[in-house]
Amino acid sequence: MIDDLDPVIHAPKRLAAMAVLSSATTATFPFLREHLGVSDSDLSKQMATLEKAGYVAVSKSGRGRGATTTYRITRTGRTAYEQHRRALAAILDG
Amino acid sequence: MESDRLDPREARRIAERAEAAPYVDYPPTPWWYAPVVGLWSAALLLNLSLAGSHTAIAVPAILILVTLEGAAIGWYFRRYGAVPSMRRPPAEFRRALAGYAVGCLVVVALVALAWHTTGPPVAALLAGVLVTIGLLVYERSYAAAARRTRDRLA
Repeated sequence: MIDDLDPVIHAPKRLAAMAVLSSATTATFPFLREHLGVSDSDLSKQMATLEKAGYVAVSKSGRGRGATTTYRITRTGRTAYEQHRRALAAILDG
Repeated sequence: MESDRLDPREARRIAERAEAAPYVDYPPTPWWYAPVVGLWSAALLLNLSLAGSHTAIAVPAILILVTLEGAAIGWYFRRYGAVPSMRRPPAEFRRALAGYAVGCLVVVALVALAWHTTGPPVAALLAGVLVTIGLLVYERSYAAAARRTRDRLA
């Protein structure tokens, strides 16, 4: 059952980011940073890992101070996250 | 890579709190939001009723109102940071969301009835009042649900 846990998602900060994105249409960089309580560089690193795995998609709009970076979960990411949640439930609830 | 030796119980707690975040972590709604949406609804209805007879005024007005709606949605997304997908809201929100759906149907039905019995001006006025009151009620119900969810996950 432990083997069913996705190592990319199981890290606490990435798990939290995936959980937020699983229940939001999109989430902005500042929202994720506030919720995860991490620095800009740390969040960028975590989101880059998720993006590289194909679990999130990023879009940027605007320029300069008004620029917004937005993330959304991909279909692959949603499937992986739901599988991870099921694996967690199986471990805890037997 | 970050450690993946997270205790499963702690992992589930992190996931549950984060899944609820788009629903419960939101800035206070400005006091003017409900009356402005009410006014917008009344103006849209009034202009729709004039579209046949006063096309030159009503059609540009409708376009302006629709553009304003688009701008408001953009503002909403930027302000809230994460917009709930409504796929699986926390259980505490069921009553508020069901109330919203029923409220919308009731408002549409009452406004349609007013339109057919008393005419567009009264229907527009009624729409403005009902939308304002409905949003205020929904806002309170949503805030209470958010509070209960935050308490459960604290």
